[in-house]
Amino acid sequence: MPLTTPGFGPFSAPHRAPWHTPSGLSAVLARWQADAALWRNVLLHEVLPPEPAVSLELPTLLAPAVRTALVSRGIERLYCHQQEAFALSVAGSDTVIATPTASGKSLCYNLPVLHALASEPSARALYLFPTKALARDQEVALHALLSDTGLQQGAITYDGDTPGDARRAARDRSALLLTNPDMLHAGILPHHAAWARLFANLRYVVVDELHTYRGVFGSHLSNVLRRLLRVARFHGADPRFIFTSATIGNPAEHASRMLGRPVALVSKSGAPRGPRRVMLYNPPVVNAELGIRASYIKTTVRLTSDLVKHGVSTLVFGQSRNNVEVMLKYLREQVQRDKGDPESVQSYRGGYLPEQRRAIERSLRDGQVRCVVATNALELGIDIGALDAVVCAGYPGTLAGLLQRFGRSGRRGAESLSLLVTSSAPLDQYLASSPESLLSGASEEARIDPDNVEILVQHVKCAAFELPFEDGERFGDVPPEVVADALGFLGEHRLVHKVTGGNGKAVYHWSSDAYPANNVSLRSIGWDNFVVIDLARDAVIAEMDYRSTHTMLHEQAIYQHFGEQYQVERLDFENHKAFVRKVESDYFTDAMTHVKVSVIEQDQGEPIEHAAAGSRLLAALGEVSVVEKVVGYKKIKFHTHENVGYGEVDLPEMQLHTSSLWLTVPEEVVLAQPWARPEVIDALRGLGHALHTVASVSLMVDPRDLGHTLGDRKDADGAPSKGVSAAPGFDPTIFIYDRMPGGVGLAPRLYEQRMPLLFRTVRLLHGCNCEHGCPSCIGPMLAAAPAGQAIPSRRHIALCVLSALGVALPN
Amino acid sequence: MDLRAKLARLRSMEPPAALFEPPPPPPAAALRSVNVSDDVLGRALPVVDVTPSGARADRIAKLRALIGEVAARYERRTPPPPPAANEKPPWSEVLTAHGPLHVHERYLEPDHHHGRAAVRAGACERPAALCALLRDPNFAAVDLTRALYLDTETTGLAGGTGTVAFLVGLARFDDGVLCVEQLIVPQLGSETPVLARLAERIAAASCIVTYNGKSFDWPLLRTRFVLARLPVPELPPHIDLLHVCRRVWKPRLPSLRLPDMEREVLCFEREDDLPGSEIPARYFEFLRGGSPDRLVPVLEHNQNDLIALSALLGAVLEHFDRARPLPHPRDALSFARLALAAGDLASAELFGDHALEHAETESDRFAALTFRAALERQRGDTPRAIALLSSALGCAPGPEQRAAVHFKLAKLYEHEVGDLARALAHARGTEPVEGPLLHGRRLGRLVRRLLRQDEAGSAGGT
Repeated sequence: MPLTTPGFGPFSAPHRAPWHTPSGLSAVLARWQADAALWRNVLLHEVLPPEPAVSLELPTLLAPAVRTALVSRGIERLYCHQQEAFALSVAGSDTVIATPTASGKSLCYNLPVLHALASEPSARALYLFPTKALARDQEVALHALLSDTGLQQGAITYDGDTPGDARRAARDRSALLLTNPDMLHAGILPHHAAWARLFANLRYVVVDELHTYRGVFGSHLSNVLRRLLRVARFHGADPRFIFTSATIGNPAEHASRMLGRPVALVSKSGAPRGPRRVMLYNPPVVNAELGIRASYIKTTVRLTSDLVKHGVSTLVFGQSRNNVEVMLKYLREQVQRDKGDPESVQSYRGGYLPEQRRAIERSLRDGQVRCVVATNALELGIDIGALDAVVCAGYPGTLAGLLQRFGRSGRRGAESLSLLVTSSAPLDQYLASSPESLLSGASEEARIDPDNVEILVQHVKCAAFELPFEDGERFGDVPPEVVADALGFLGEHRLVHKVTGGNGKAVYHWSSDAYPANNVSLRSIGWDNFVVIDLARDAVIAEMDYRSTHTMLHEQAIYQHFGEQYQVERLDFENHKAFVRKVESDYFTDAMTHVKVSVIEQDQGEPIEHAAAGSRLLAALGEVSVVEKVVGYKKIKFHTHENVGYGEVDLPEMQLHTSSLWLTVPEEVVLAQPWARPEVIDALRGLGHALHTVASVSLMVDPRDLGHTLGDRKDADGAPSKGVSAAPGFDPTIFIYDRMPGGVGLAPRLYEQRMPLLFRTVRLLHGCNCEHGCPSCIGPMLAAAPAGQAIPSRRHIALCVLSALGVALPN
Repeated sequence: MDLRAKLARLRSMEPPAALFEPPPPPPAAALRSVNVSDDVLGRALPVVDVTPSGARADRIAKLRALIGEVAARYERRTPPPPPAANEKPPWSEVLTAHGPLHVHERYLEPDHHHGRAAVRAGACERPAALCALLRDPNFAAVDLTRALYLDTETTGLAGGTGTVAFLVGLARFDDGVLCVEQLIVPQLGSETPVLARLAERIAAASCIVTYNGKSFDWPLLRTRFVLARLPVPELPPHIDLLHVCRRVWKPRLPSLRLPDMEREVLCFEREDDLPGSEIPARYFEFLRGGSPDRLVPVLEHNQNDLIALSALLGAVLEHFDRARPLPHPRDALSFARLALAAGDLASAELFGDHALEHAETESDRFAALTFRAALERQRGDTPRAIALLSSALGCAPGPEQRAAVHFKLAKLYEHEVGDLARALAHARGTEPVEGPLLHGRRLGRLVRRLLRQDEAGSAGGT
């Protein structure tokens, strides 16, 4: 009997060895190449040659016990990056190892740690992983390594699920502690006196998957590390840090910013890699007028089912949880039609409970499951064994993200396939127009802002709870004057109390009965997860973060879980609970969000002059308040993807203070255009869309880190409304804002580059082949023109407006 | 924007509420949903603006109100009086080797009663009772006259390094007199004299007595020693009365807080006791220049806690030794079980009989009967055990319990008495306890034995 829900009930499918015969892959390729209609859309087909290993002898100063352990596992040589990392760490340097996925990074940090344990029995080390699942995986690996070395010290994972006696053992005896940032922040640091033995002997801190700590989360972690260093110093230790990161554009800079001091970089990988076939498939245009392409989701399903039919183990990455569930449904149906076992296709996403995820990983390793559809949860290095193919449905937004996903295939050294199916989203099409950039090796940078004021003050608060602050004390690399200001701010709110000692020095003590770490969430400047409760079984089936809850768990939404549909009957906002009931529906829902931006303060601004009379485009930079509200949803039928209805949603707004660039078009320019005002406004809205695309590319940022909207800079009141009012005196303003609360420095850089940004946008619009506008340039037209009516091209209108403002390509 | 400038702006803006409290649920949407229609292109038609005017001002007002509510919680019920300058505190300042020690002392004569219990009862010699109640024979050698009673008042309940024990309450016996010594932390960061005195007292004590000290007070104090960079004192045996009270009173009482125990066991009702939740605020108020007199209720609360500890310890020990009127039947049964676990069959019997005689409900009676039966079995008095169990059958609260009694009787009849017929009769009712497989085996065995017995009987008869 096939299972519907892995993890509940025994696996009754017979155990099969993973079947990775290359002939499966060649057969599929041959088939595809033979299909001219299909092959026409393959815009990139490169075979990257295999890379040989670059290895060296085991280091001479490696402790004998560790050497024995390595040799007993068949490791007689180290890859060059492992060797380099070891040498740097042992010499006392903080290091960051930024080599591709599956290059043996864990040995880069385990070797120095084990070496320290062998040389100094009371030494301790702390390992930080982004998720509990990863930590527990590494614990298993570490136990095996430790037992091979014959060392007596132990390793324990300390997280919310750790039972009481294990917690005591972790504090008193265990040499290696594996945990995650949230636990460190709320469970360990505020109780550091009970962990005195750990901190007093702390030699190494290992931070894995550093690239996942960007934006808000990364800024929080940086402050948690500041607190960690402070506590360690109190207990007399000065640990070295070992970071690992997947390939990003600025690993050394990111790590140094994270730690607040310089970090040495190891980036050249010595790990071998088998030949990799990289392909890009761009679904063809099916409606030239509107610029609409064939569904990338269905295309992915079709290509994947070919792979699965030929026994090629495949990992499919979707852009969103919704996409994953939709693809899972379609894939299972297709596999069933092909006389395969639909249960051999499983989905995997972060909202699943831990036991379910573990079960899927196991069955992938064992070969019972041939295809997994996932969001980026599997980007994290959970060991899933060898896969022959990775298919990305839609471009994940960054080259770094794409390469990490591609890195999941071909672990055994056999030939593998990395396939990207591009959607009609602008960035995807940008990439499709120059597919060689997939192979360029360029990668986006990770950005954090550890000195973001809201985040910093939260952590100074937590730090004051941990240890009193002395006058003139720094906080990491934050200078004393700023710390004093922050403490003064907290003092005004009676959270700290200043005491002047006999020697005239002031000390700031925590003076409240609250426990600050509980109110600080590292993932946001705000609120926690919601739980999803199945009414029929009265059980929690999943969790969801605050933001996604608005778009996926509003009342009447169809929530998809493991390929089944549930309808949200009630959303208890205050208690963070969503109540769902299983339904059989033929549609899914897609939420509609409205955004309203209002200016708080302008920092800089100046007009962009036009040679001729008067009309000017005003560009400015400053602080804004962004309010997002989910106002409704569309019902979309499965398979046909037609729109079969709407519904309204009543949810509170999500508010964000951040920095933004804005461009204001004076009303007289709008009125001077030969088209109706609403059409001009609409074209300007599309212009914002184009600017957003160009901005993401030029800043090498994930487009999700930026937001854009059209508003009126004078209009500071009111909720996001459906449309921009047509009242006179309204100057349409395009906002491009930094999506991280407080801003992470993107908007100022955009403002600096505003002229190149505008010109590149003009070039993009000029160069596009669509008639009225398409997703790649100005944004799609949403419906066909009524018969007989000619509608003006959005693209054309936008170009005219820009030209009237003096922004045009030189002739 | 410069960091300092941003901080300055943070001050002038409405501060994010999340800075101070668990963020309040976002205010209910102050906006009506906008009824808008689309044209075919999905573009908005020009719409009458229906957003309420001044909505932003409303939002600010709401946020401010929420923050105000939160801040008001810190103010408690009565607004603090203006700070009194140079007011002399109601405790004394003593110079010690580690600096000035702020201490309040009180002495209670040997006869002082806390409710219906004499305070000096704690300084008794009842080693057997003590070991039985603590379920630990190692307490036999502990000299309760040199016990140290300990209770702290803290700046919060969450524990962790930011929680300060600003009042360390100690009590010990000196020649029959109970000396209550309360050590006060006069200013944050000046804990060393208090901790040093505490360490001295611990070193001189034979054991420490607390209420929930194992989970709360001691870990907190240990943290304070670590943070003050003082060596952590080694603790002598630790008597946590909460654990004792749980063992005796949990079956009967819903709440085991110290004031509830005071009321139930000692018949002492506190008057005008300061609620525990207000204690941290009183201390912070004092720190910020408030009058030291405002701390007096805290000191009184703490004194009551300490005195209650001694009286309660004494009362429980006396209960166990039956030096007090016999307790509620359900309590008696708890005592009986403890006595049995400690190997004191005689006491177990006495308590068991008392429980049986005064049982108020059917289930109490049942519990008492089965307990006494178990005792008789241990003593070897099978007939009496059987008699008790048979009575228990009559008042079994449910089928499972009834089956359990059948199970015991079946075994007794079969193995001790040899009455196979009766054994079989009872065996028929044991399935809920044994499960079908074992039940079947038992029946089978009994039937076979009965047959053999009959055959032997008839063979003998011929």
